[in-house]
Amino acid sequence: MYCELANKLVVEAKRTEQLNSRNNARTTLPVHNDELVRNVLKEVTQLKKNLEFFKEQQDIMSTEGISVDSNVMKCQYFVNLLCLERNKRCLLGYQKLRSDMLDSMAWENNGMDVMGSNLGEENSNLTHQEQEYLKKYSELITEMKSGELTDIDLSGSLIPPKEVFIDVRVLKDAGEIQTEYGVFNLIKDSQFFVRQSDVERLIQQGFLQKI
Amino acid sequence: MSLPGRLQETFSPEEVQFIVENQKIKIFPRITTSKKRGGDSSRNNNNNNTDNEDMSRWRMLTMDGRALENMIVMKSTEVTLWLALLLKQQSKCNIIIPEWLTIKGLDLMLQYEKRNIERFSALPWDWLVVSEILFKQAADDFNDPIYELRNRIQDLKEIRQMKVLQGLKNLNESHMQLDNLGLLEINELRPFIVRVMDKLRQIHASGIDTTETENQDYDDDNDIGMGTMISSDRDASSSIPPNAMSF
Repeated sequence: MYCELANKLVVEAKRTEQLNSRNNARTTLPVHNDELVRNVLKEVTQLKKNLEFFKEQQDIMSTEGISVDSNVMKCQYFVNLLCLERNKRCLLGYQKLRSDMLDSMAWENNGMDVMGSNLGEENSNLTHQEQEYLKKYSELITEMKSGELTDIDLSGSLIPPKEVFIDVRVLKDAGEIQTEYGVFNLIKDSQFFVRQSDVERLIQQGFLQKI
Repeated sequence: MSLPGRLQETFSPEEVQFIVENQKIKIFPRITTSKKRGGDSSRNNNNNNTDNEDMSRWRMLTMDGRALENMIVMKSTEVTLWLALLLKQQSKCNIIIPEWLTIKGLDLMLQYEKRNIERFSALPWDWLVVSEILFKQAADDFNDPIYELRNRIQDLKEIRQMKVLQGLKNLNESHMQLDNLGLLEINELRPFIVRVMDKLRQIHASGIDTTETENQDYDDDNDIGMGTMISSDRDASSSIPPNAMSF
């Protein structure tokens, strides 16, 4: 049927959205459904060919002086066009969801990890264009952070601060960190009483656990 | 996006607490920071430099520093709640419990709640958060036993919850009145109410929309909020046919 493939794409997008809204953990992006997208594109080209064919027909008929029922022709154009539009909407919806998820990933993790490293584990699930997009997007974020607002860690924790000093437990070795009050040697399973702002990055990366 | 989805349309409870912590509250300081006249003048004599003196004084960027500079032991003063909690943690002050957070005050409110089924009592907008914070962090400053207060707060919470549930029957597409509802209570309800009302409004407006298109008479200024939505919908639906015709 017309546009059924595109509908499958939308259903898939919806499923990923629900999966990610339920578990608040890191967003995971499923594999980009290349085959389905390609089939939708095939359908689109077919529809476009149809339209061109109609136009040719109409031209030929009008030159040969055969009277054409213009309303029928218009209807054919109209239906074809609607199918094109629908396919476009579905494709855009699918891609928009994926790009939104990429954006949130870039905001959540990339700023915290070493800049430049782009989520190695996820890379296989992304298409080439998406990888490119992610890279450029994180570059944009970095640019913004190094602009006028250098003092503010824009990708930092969104939870309002409660206490200045907190207890943290080390979950995995993180080496030594330098703070205003000296060097901490973070060994696994040790506990520290540190200033929250010093260790926020490490908490977000999963090295430390707040107590 | 830069902001995770769960924060996009409402506040998180932590953010509500953050907002509330900017309220003023009265404390009894246990430290003195105001300088005595004599000491002050001698200091001025020593180094005739007011700047230097200012430097040694506490400066607050986020609030009026005067309250902090002029604290005298056991003389009540008003500071912001987050500062009071910070001082309290270091046992450098006692927090004065607000008037409504006593057995007497809460009983009054409870009575009012029971008597007026259709109204909420005039508790301060931050009552739930403030009482929660104070129970946790300033438990020793209460004159009344805390478990009594906790009970009453819980009672109030439940009564008001019931009223809210009753009130939800009257959801409509235009407005609703929620006098004296606390910030936290509103915050819990926000996603639900706003979404339902949005849908109701859409359905309502779509009814208006069809009659409008029949009359071929578009006047969007009767409802500004919906006007944009109606017009965009109309554009989308009406823009296709002309395109198709012009092929």
